Amino acid sequence: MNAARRAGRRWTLADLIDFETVLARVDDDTLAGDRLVFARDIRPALGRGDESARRRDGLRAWLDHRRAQVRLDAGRAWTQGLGLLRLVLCLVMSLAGAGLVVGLCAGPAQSVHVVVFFALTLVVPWVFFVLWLGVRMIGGARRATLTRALQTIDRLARRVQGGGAAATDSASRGTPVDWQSRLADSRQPRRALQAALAGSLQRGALGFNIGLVLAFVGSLMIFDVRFYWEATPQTGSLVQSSVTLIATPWRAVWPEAVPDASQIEASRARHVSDTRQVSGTSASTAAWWRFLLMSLLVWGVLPRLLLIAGYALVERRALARLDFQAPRHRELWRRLASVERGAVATPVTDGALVLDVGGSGIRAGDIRGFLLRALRVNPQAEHRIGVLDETEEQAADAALAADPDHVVLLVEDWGLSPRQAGSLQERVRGAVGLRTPITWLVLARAEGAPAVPDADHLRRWTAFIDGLRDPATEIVGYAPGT
Amino acid sequence: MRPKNDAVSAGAWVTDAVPCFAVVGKVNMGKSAVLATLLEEDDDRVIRISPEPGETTRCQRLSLVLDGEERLRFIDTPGFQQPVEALRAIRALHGEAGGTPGLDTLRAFVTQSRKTKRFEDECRLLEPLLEGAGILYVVDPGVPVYDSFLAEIEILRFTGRARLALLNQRGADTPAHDAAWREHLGKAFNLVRAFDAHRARFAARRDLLAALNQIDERDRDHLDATMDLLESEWRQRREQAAEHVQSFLRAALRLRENAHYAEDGPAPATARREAIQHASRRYFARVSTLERETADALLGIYRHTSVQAQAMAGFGEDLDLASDETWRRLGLTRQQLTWLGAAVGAGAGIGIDAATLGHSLGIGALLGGIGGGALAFFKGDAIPTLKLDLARVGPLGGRRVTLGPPRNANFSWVLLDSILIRYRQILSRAHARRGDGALGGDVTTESIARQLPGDRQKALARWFRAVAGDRDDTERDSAAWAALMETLETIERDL
Repeated sequence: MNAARRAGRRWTLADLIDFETVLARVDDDTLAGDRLVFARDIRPALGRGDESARRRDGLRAWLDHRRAQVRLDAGRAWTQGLGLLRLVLCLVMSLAGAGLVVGLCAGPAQSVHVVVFFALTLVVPWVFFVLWLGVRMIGGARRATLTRALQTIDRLARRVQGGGAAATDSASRGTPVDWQSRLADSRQPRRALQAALAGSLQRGALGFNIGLVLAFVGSLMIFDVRFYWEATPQTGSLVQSSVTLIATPWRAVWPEAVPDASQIEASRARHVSDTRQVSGTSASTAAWWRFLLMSLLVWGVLPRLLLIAGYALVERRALARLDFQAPRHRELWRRLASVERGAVATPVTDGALVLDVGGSGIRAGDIRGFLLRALRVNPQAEHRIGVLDETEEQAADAALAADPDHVVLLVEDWGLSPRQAGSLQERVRGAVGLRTPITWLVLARAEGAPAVPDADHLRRWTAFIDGLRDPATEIVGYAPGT
Repeated sequence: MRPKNDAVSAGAWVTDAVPCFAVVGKVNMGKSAVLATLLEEDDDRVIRISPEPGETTRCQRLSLVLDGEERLRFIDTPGFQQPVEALRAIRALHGEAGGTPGLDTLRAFVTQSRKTKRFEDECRLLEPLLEGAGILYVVDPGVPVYDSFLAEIEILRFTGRARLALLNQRGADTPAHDAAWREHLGKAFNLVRAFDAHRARFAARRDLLAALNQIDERDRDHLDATMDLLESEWRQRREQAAEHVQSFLRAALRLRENAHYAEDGPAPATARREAIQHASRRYFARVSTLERETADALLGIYRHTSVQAQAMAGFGEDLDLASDETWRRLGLTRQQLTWLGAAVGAGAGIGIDAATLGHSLGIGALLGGIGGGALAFFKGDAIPTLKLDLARVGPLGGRRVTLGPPRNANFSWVLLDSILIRYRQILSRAHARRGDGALGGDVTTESIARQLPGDRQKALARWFRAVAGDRDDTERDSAAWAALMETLETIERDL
């Protein structure tokens, strides 16, 4: 599989569900392996620049890689469940719509009150829609509600798929993952899921409207349907203006589908001797059924189609804006895509412990250049030794016990005391072992600063050190120009 | 086999697999400092830096290793010690053959000098160049262009390698001899760049690495990929830093300290007062510790491994929340707190209006706004008093004192400010800096929180409120994290 080729593919809800499922189950060893795949196949295919897009594409490619390794069906099952829900909702609602229209058209005397027809088929569903929007605004969009809805659909999908599949799934992959809560916690996934669910409801509403239209057309063909309206006050002008307003979208295209004033007046029912009399003409009947049919199409079917498209667009945009910035996503991204910096170089092993013998006051910093250039050692630590201060003695012993790479003993040229120097050599050698180089650096002091040692003194020091017969011990005279 | 730093065999400096650059120049021009900053290496055992001239006594291979792969190789060289004499010797070797001495002459020079044990440092620095390394020539534009420098430039020109000259200027002012240097270097080098090893931030380091692309196109793809990796690494650091800052704030805002005292003792009031003082001291000490630990973590993220927050000058003092000065200097102003409190309070009140389908006529938002604003106004300027809870423990009359975060709305902002200022100081610290870690005087300690845009302040204020109320809200967490990321990015940009 070339995961890189898949980099850049769009996310879907099924992908998101699978992603959260696999993320909850992936272990450290797997991620360590995936990190190599990511570096080899995925990273080179990611675009430069926008980090969010890189992350989206990179994680999408990683999901494809995971899918190739393990069977993941949580997302597919859920989307199938959602599809099934949509289908059922559409069918049930279309039957409800058809039943409503047949009931209205095939009622007593097969006369349809146009206002009631319009109210029941169009106004009431829209009122429900507005109420639903209001409920959502107040609290219906809470995460808990969304999570419950998602879980219901998931259960429906599992049930439809059958217990056997569920048992296999559970056995092969451990306990189910609560991906519903994980998705509901992040803004963009939540928006996408809400849009998907809202789109499903609109599909039900679309089914209702299609049921209305089909049943209305069928009723016109089967029954001799008459249309009328009635009102106690003189509201003829109100009906007429309402009809004109409602028919605005198709007036220019199909003027016959707009009842005129005479047709509206002709279809007005009147009560004569407690009996309703509908004195409609065939022209008014034709105008009314065309008007109602167009109303159902334009104010019922068409808006629902637009809403479905709108919710699909919202879902798509939300999925296109996934940022994967939840802590668990950032952690995953770091595990996959973090750049690890290696060592710049092996530390140079020329650090030296500088011991000022007897406390001459010469600091390692004063002779640092000489140590680096002539002895090729870097003074990393310095202490005084052979002094009265017990604390300093202990500090020097601790530094010697810390296994330095090199020991430099600073001595003044005049200060050779063979027994004391021999004892110090034994002490240092005993602490650092036989192989650590020891350098006796002989120097003089001139006005507090280090200076070139006296040649005679240096000769005596050299003879003494040579007499120690220690192959890892040497003696050097300070030479500032070196 | 990878050669050791101190024992490199001939032919081991350069490889075809990785772009290699030798960093050359006169002693004490800051070659090692440039590399330390470029490679973010503050370990003195790896790259040694000090004012002592000639610290680098041998060539040292220094690699940029990303994801286990060597991406770039630099060779730190000892530096020219006798360039004029060396140039004369090279010309003498070339003789009257005409034309310019080339690689053959330089090879002959190195061979001959080894035998005579002259020009030891020049031979060492020429080795990688003869093997094919590109040249990064470091000069200090604060010193005049002496003949010795012209000799160095001439010798380097003889190699015919790709050459980038680096004006290692020290300080923000234009160096005295900048123009003269540029004129001379412009004639002999493919590119001339300015770079302050002791002040260079990430952008300057990135630009310098990108400039390597321009002097030798053969490695363009490789260097581009390296730049991508470095950008990813940098963003990743910022993300980690934002997480550490957020974790610190969360921990501090949820911190509680307990102390116990006996209610039926001889002086219960005194015991209680002492218990409160004890818990209070522990509380503030714990917040300071948390802050210092976070600063140490930030130092680690930005590869300052040889220094700890406590040891850095300007970092030495812990965050002192009991000090009046801290509350004056850090956090939001009273006016900002009031407006923010009103905005966040009104936001919460809108929920009530929505729940009543607007029948509350916006009173929820109004009351929320007034309440939030008033609370911030009256509490926001006070020295914090910790939230105190008393509880009875056990049947024997023992009492437990629990001290929580201060009621002052500015507390969260003071904490945020203190850690953001530390972040700015850490970013300002160049890896070439050694010693006690003294920071440059150009890094201000003025409040950062006060400068944040309103939307970021609101996102953070909402999150502070949720955290202080012990509510886990993933969305607010993410919004606050995003606000912190933007803030850290702004700090980097403004440095």
